[in-house]
Amino acid sequence: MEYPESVLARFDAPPHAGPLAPGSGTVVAGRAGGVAEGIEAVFQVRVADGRIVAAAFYAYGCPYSIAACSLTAERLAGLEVNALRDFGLLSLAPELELPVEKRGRLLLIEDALRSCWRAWDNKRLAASKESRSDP
Amino acid sequence: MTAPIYMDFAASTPVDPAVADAIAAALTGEAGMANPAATHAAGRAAALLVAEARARVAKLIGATADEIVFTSGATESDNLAVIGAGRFRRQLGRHVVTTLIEHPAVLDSCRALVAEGFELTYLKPDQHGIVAPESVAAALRPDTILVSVAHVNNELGVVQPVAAIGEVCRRHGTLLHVDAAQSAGRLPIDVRESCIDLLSLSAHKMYGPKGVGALFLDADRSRRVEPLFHGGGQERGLRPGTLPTHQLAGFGIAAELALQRLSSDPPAIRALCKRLEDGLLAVPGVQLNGHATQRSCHIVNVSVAGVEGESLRCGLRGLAVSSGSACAAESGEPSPVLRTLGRPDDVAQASLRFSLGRTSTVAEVDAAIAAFTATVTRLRELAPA
Repeated sequence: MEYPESVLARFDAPPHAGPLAPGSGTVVAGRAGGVAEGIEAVFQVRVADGRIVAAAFYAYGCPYSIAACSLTAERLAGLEVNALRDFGLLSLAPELELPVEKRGRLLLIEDALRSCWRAWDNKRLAASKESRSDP
Repeated sequence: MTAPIYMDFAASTPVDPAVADAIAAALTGEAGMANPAATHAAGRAAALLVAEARARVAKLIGATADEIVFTSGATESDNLAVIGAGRFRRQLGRHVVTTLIEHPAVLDSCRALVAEGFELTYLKPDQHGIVAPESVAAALRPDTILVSVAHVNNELGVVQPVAAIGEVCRRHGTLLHVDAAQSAGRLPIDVRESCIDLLSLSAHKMYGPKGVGALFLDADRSRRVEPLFHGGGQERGLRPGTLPTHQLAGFGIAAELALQRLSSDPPAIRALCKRLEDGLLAVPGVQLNGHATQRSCHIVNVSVAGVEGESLRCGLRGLAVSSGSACAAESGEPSPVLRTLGRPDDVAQASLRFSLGRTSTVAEVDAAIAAFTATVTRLRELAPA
């Protein structure tokens, strides 16, 4: 299969791959997919003051999957935390020249991000309960 | 960008310089100019080139020249053997036996017969890809007219016990067709000793030109098959059409060289393959596909656990290797051969066929091992725990 240069560059040396660099803020993680589905993605996201300050990923999948995870992690930095819930993967389609047949599978990346958002929301709710129960 | 290291000799081989010279001489010289079917002097000169080529090809497999029918390649030979023999003998029976790991040219030809009312029995090989002669014997019926088994499986490189299968078929009175595209020039072939009735050859798998091949038809047992093409008397009417003199001249030289080098090429290639196999299997989670020893000298097929197949191939794009049969590579589906051996889809998809040849070097093998190790390690580090 032929891949666009933008995909090959991110596949060969994917920015934001691996563990999240140390820093301050709340770290949440989300996972979606599996080997049987052809793609598995894990995102780690650091949130501070309601904004995503850094994101990193691990991925099992085709070169498009790895490139899309890398670009997603890059795009998340600086966005409001609700972007984890609302992020539309197809916004990356032009840059990565995503073939139509790959798009359905890559939507699992959105699921991993929503999993991050749920983790963050759970943490927020837990923190809110704690603060209400404080004397 | 540097050229990929070529390790796909099972898909095609480079044309040997001596073969290229023979082709060029036939293309530009007077001997190759005329139609070899013509009766004038120029035609007779062209016919002589064809006759020489036929004799050389026949000698490679222990046949006589009049038992060789030239075709466009092994795919056509397989079609002519399976469909042609099936149709010609349909009054004797309509049952054909083949294996689940045959080349698509054989499988699809068998299915074409099924569409014409034949019955087909698929034999399942053992976990190493070997088809037992006993399983062939068990599948034979009074109405079985043909058994088709590849000598060397094109994906795994496993060598089938064709001589023993040939004995079984001969005792039963059933024709045996053998696709020898991968074995010719790599293993000794004697169609008489192995009781082979029909045998397919391809020139470009043995350092000859693409677009030409041959079908051996035993003079006593399978001299006639029903032709697939019509419109001329060439090749005893079995394969009409003007013969490509220059390609046949090249094919003949390729066959002659293959025979001459049969005692030197395979051991050298086997040593390189062993070095490659050891290097690949040193990476944890890498599994050899196919029998460890009952294998042709030129193929190493491995599966890699924990790595996605498409990324594995992309990471190794500096190597010209295959993920299965070159003829099925465009489908993107996991190899049916590996599925038959029981590999799960994700493992079958993350499988690579390395195949070496006459021009392969130690440096290339070592570079391939290094690239493979680095790519597998990197992709595993990238994958979620």
